[in-house]
Amino acid sequence: MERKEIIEKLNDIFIDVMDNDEISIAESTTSNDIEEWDSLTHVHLVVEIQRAFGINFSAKEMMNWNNVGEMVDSIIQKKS
Amino acid sequence: MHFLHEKIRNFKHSFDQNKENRRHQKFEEQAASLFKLCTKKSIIVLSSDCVGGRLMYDYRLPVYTPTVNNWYSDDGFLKICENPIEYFKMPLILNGERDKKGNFIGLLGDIVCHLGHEADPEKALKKWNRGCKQFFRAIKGNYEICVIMNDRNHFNDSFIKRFEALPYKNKVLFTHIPHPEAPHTFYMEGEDSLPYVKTMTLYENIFSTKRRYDRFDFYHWFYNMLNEDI
Repeated sequence: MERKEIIEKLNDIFIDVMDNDEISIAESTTSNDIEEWDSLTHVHLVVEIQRAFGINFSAKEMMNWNNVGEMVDSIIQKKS
Repeated sequence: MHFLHEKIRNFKHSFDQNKENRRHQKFEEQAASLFKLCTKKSIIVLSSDCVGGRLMYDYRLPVYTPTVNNWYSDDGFLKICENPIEYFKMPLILNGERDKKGNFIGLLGDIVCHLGHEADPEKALKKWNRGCKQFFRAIKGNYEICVIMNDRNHFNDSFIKRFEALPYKNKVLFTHIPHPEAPHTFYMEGEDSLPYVKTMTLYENIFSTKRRYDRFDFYHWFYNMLNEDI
């Protein structure tokens, strides 16, 4: 799966979890860019990412991402 | 004088922050073990006040309910628990009114909802609607509804029967006096002389990292729920 495809799939997950159709994420997107992205929705987001990609993150991993790009790196690493 | 107040406030803030960090270090391992399980099952927590939201934060569990961070009269909360599907389908009406604590008030059918921790009514409504959608999404899969309540908000003894009759296996009602006849109540020792339990989210004392609701073993409660039928 290529980065672009992963970001598209992630975007759908963001839209569902945040319940905001206007969300459009990029590699550089951070929680500061999305109003609904707080500590509670972050956990939900990660759980949905795990379900969608069939992977597991440690609690430590999910707290260390600084932006969507780092999320994508983790997904690629887990899928390879 | 102003300088002194500022200094005290800063000290209190960093003291509280430090305490919160130490608390979360203690939760780290437990949160990690729950997190491993929560892709397989969704735990829907219906909580009568902020305890639900705090627990989700403590244990890093996803929120599948609009009730998080809000509070209700005990009668209203029981009505929601008795029929969450009907109530979460209803529109929440906000007219800009606030309660004494400054929380926005919303009307959900015949229930008054106090929407906590939100300064903007539009955002409070959005959060509520998002919670409802997550609830309906969660109940399409493998899920478990659990209820956390206390006797703080216009409680009377007839509510104990209603609480015990709720169709959920996992429920806990914190009370200021013991109710041995009701198996799902949890007596908060030492509060018999009060009219109801003290705020559940408070720390046990100024130096403790334990909150009052930690007297109940929520970790194993959630752990067992997540492990059932997997």
